[in-house]
Amino acid sequence: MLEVQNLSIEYTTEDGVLKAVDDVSFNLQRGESLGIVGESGCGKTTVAKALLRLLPENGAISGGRVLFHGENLVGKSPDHMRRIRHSKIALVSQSAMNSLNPVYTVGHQIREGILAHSNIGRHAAHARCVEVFGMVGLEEKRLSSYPHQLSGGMKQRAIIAMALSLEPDIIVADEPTTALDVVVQGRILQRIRAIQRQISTSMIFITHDISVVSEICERIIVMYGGKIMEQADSASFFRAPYHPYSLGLQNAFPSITDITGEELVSIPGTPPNLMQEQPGCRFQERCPFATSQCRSRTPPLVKVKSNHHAACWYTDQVNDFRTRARNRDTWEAVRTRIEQQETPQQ
Amino acid sequence: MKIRSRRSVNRQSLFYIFWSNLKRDRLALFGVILLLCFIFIGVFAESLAPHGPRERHYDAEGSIRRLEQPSWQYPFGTTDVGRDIFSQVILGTRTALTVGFLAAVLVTLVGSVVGIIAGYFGGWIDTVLMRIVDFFYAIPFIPFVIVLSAILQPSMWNIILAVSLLSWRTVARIVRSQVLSIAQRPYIKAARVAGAGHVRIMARYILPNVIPLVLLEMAFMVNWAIMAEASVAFLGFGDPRVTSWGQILHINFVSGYSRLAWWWTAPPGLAIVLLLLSIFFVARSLEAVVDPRLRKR
Repeated sequence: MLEVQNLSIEYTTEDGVLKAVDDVSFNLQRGESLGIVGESGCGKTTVAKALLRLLPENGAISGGRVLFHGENLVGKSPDHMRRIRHSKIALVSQSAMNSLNPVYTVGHQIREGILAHSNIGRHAAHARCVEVFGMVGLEEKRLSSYPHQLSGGMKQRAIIAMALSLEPDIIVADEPTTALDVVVQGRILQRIRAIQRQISTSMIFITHDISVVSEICERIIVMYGGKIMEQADSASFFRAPYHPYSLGLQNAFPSITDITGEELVSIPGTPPNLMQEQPGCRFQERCPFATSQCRSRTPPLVKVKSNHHAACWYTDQVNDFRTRARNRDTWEAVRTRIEQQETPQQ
Repeated sequence: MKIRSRRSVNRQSLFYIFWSNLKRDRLALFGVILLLCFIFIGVFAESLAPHGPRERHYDAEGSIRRLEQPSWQYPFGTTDVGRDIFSQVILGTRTALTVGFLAAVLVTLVGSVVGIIAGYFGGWIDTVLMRIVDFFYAIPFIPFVIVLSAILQPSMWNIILAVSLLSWRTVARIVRSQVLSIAQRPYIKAARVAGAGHVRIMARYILPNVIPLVLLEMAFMVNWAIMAEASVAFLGFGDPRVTSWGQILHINFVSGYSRLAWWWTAPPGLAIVLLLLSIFFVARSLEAVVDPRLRKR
């Protein structure tokens, strides 16, 4: 249904051009839920915004295509995009909680969206509001509440209800639960998952929290430095990731079933500066297994299993990598390597 | 059917909130009652005033009733030429209310339109409009009115004009600063992305957010306009044909009896104070109704 092909996005800044997303391709089937994970600044939000053509003024799609039902959205007129947004592809944005207008009731705002994007009458629109509020577990009387009368979780659910109101084909959820506490977050995630299955809409779920993806997504894309590092079925990925970055991420998150009392192992270093040309693999600087080939040539995304792709030159050595990645010393070695590079030789 | 009934309930509830606010807020209730009294007096001033403002009164012997103390016949006493002060104060109410409300409506209308446009569009439009505002800030009020009444004729309308010309700047500046922040909020950006036009965004999404501020400013402007009219009339630049509280005080002062005839000075002065107070209290409670965030749950 949605096919993203070789998408590249650049931001023009005062210091030069920043390649935020480089050659990203993926597709999304009807009813599928796809998680995009990565640390801050890896380009995941940029991808989400580009799908809806909502990039800020200094950002531009510099290459690639976004096919939605076979139609390329890149280059469509603003008017055309307007008809697709909200009704076909809905966005639950990062700052969703602050996106409600304080002087109108929540119901008014949802109804306004429905009326603006469809031809149904006021009564039908109101009925639809009640319906979507029911889906997200809010009472009907809450429709006549003002945003300040709702709690954070309720506001977030109202925003999700708004996204659902026109039965979009795709919901793009950009960190929809980051501002909430863990308990509310869990409840809302479950709700999202249930709704998504119930109305078989597709979803792109963007988060930095890999455990959230494991809970609600069927497929996962790991992004790093504007490129896809690994793309796989969630089950396959969480059982056995291939990319060294994913191996590192796995270490960095606590597992409930495997409490060893040890400290978590983090990946040393910082993401690459995308203002500069990146010749090799984006992750090579922080990768414990990097070789000279990694530094000079960018690895392509290759198939390692059915429905599992990774962008690493050494996918064949993954078993060795896995054993070594579990060892704290492997990553400590990277830390010393980076520190040595940073301090000039005397 | 369901929606219709829901909406009528909503509309009622706004009124209901104002009403229940009044019950809780004694000062607001006091303000509303007082203001209603003033409006009633203003509307029916001609029927309520027992005498004409310039009518001279004579006693049984045929001499002028000069500077008589308050009595049943002349509740606020008489002036040095035997005019009934009570009637003058009643008639002055209408002038005060007319000047106050007309000027305030004009000022807030112009001020908020300019403020919203400047804050929403920003850039050179903002710069140009704000420099005009700065220009008007530089003009002192009283000399401006004196010059204006010298060029035009001294009349109530010119005072309204002068007040409006010189006070929209304040509203414009305050509204602009609020709009600057509102225009950057996500829901405004969302409206823009969804294809809403400039006028719709300004009228439907920005205006409701600044209404409380505008209303409050408007109340201050009513007060300020009434004060300005009184000051100008007190200085003798008012409309000589229209009775106003300022004019009563002016004649009182000029006649030289302001220190002796307390019944001549106090009524118009008290009337000014009470009217200003009542409007302020009403404005305060209105603000709580219009802004859902100020509502007590």
